[in-house]
Amino acid sequence: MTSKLTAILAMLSFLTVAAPPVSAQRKPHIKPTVRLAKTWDGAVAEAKMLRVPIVVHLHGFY
Amino acid sequence: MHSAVLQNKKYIKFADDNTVEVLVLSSLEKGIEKKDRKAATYKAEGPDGQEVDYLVEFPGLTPNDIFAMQRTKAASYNDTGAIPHTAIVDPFTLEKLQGIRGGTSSKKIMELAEDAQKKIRKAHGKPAITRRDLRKVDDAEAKVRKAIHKENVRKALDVVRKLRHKTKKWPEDAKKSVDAVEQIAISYATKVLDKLTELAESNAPAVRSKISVLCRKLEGTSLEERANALKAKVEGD
Repeated sequence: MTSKLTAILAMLSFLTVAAPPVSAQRKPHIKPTVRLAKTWDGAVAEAKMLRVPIVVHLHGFY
Repeated sequence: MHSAVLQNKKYIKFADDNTVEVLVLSSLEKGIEKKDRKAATYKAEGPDGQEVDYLVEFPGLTPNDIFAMQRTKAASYNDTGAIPHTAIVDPFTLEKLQGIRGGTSSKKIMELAEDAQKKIRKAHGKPAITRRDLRKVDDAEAKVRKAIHKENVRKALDVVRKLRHKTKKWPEDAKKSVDAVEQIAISYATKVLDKLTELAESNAPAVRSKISVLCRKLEGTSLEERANALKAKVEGD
């Protein structure tokens, strides 16, 4: 009985060590998204050069 | 939240040809705090070659990019207080040409953006370069930063030289983006020259081979004279 328990515990400890963290297990699914400017100044400079409007999307996370 | 427009295939294509897109997202910090899956990040190589955490929902943007955008003029275009809001902005005057209160369709934004583009081009003429051209600058900047990360000054300067050649017929305002990339490489080359100058005091032979190559790479730049002077010094020692 004790030896069976020891074996199970040993197996569980192996699984704990062997399993990578959740974040590393799943490769995030990245959906195609519109290309967003990283900075406001960069957006203004780029829009001037390309002679296009800036579309500002103002959203709330919740 | 935003997927109906920002992840709409037709809108992605339209925006690539006709607009510059900016996102002002409030309360992201709450999502991060609550470990909301929409605030999740993924690790990818950043512009300097180092690992960066990008938002899964907004590839290419970090949480800090989002927070920084909230502190810019972009955030001021919602004068209604209602969320969501969409503003079509003239980049020359920074005036809001159109504002859409509440949720809207990608079709509506495309119509308004097309009108705005016509107005902008009527006032300022057609563009001399395309977004595809600008991507060459972005690509070159990424290569320069990567080369610097690997402490490869010669590679960084080579990338700039090739970029200069490709863009020599560009209009002056567009060349400013090329100047900015060159400045990144020159700043790094200045540090390398500083180190070599210091090393030359104690070990001139170690500097000789390095400075010869660097002199060739720095031809035509603001550092050419300084590099040549160091070369002459170590060869005379």
